[in-house]
Amino acid sequence: MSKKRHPVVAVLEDFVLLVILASIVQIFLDDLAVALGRGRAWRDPLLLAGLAIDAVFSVEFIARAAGALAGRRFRRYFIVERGWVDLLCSLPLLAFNSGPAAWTLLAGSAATGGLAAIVKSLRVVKAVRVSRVLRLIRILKIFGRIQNADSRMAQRHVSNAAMIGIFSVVLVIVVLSATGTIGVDTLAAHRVAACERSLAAIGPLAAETGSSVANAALSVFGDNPDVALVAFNPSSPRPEILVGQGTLAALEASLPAGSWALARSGPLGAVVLLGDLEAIRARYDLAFFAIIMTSTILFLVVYARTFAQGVSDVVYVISRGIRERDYNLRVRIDPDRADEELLEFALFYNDVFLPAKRRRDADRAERSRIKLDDLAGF
Amino acid sequence: MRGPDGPRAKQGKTEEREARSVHAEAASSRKPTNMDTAELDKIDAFLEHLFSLPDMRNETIIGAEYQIVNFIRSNLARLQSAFRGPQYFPDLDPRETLAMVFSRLGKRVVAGASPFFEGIIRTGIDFNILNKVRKDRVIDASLLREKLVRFVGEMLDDPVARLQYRSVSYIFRSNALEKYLRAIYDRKGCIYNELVRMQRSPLSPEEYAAYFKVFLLLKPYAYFKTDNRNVLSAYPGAEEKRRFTGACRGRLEGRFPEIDPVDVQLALDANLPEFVLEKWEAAARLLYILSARYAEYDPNLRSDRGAESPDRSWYGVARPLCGGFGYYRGFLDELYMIAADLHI
Repeated sequence: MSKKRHPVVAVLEDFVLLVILASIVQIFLDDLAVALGRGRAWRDPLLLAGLAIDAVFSVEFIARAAGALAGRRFRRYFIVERGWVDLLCSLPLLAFNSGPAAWTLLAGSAATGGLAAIVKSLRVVKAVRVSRVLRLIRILKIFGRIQNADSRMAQRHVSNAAMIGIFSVVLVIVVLSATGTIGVDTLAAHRVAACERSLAAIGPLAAETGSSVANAALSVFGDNPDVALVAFNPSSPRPEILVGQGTLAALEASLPAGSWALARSGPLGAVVLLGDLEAIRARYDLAFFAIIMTSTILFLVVYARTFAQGVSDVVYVISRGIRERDYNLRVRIDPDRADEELLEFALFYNDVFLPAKRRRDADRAERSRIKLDDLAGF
Repeated sequence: MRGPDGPRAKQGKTEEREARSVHAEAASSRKPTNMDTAELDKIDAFLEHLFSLPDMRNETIIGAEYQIVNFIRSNLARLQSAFRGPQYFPDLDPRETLAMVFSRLGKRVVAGASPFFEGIIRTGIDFNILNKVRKDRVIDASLLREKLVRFVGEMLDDPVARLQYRSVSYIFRSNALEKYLRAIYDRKGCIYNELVRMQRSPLSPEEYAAYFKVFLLLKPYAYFKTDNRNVLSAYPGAEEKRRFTGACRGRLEGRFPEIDPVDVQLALDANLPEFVLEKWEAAARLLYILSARYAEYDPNLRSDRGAESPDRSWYGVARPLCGGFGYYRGFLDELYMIAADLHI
């Protein structure tokens, strides 16, 4: 039933399966690190690992698509063999998630301001992060190998059923996230906007009270735990610090990307801390992760077993019994499901076909399990 | 399908015809041949190659012989032509080569099977059980052991009788008697009632296993060709078979006066379909079914996903055929359930 794979293809496919497993672990650890408020020492390697995984998936998709195009079976690859899942889990994530994040990390925020703006303007950005869960769909490949490895029918059927279940969850998450129904992006934007309003109020307050700008800034932001730094020209090499200690560059080096934002009003700037909101988002993501993993495992273990017992295993046994003269095993029939059409057919196979076969074979000469090919080594 | 010439009888005839034909080939090899040592070595290497095939590794030696003989028979023309090749036996008549193959095969199988059965007889059977069943006889166990070793040796020398030990070897090797009898005693169902109450042999399962082993060793005597007499498979009708085993019984009793005639009858009647047996012969009914099951035993076949186990499948398929094949339906039903319990 199963075609033998070329050794090179087998190695590559096994490698991809390993990467899929690694990607699941990476997603979980990445969200866990954020939820636990871990610093860059934890999160930067995980971010780079995410980039490497997306890059591998992208190369794999391009190679498969190119192979399919060359073999004039792209339609089959993209639809029947679920190439669209390979696509969704690779290039978009590389372009809109791990790519920009890694770029920010490696080149610094100043260099990526333009790119970030473009990505943000695409309005996909809110959905992008959560869309990493799409990678989880690919674990179907792993379970497809484990469950009923010999039955393509079982693999495809169960994968399709699981795909519908998982994808519906993913779709809802992406839509809710993109529309701001769930997630913390709106809260973060509110926090930054509030900070910008406060920054704008510092000048008038200083003029009104006759105090210095530094004192006015201190009275506005001194008790605000969400602001780490207020300064004139914070991005310049020698900023004038009004509230807080250190420099923007120092904060940038210690805070993970995404856990802070720069609010600006004229020459004044403030570093707004978003770590608490990011932790909430990470907990959302972990919850989605748990939902998807649980439903996937239940589909692939419970449903696959039900399908195998009622359909694919039955077909397998009957098929062998019809094709092979020496195969006379009866189909195991669960009495609780004996009224299902296929099992009724199996009952006929057990009680009518196999006895007729044995009666027929009683008159035929015995065959040997040794074949002429077995003499090849002699 | 109940009748004198049911499917099982036909199957037996086919097997006997094939084995007898092999025997004839081997007999012809007793004529002087001009085979030298190198050629005999080549034949031995050919047989060694066949015996070492992956499919043969789990086989008993008689089972392997059965596979090899069937292989040669079904590929006779191509093998004869191959044997003429320059790397094999270009100077020999292929028929002579084949006769020598069968002869060497037979010798190898006898040499391999004899120690197996001798081991069973010497250490695997408590012959005192015969004293327990028939209290009016005193049995010298060591004498009986020696006689049985010689008897089985003679049977194994005969290719047709040896074929009958194929299912016996599977039964012994897989400890089927012990497994089934323990389950039969646990269930206390139809088979238990027939064995203990109808046949009046109140033994423990272990004692019954030893008792049945004696029967299984004696049973192939009905296929042993002596003094130009026919063997059981030469008689198509069930009644003829019954008369034939009756005649065999006298001869076997002569060879084993220490064994009770009732036990000799049970051993030989284990070759007969249930509809010609006397009502009390539960042991013969059970051994007839077990022998038939293990005659189709494939040691390489494992329980498949979605399928019933091999034993359970066999009994399940046999149930609708019990009339024609001479199996006792009540026993088959219970064995079907036992096989499920034992997962065999």
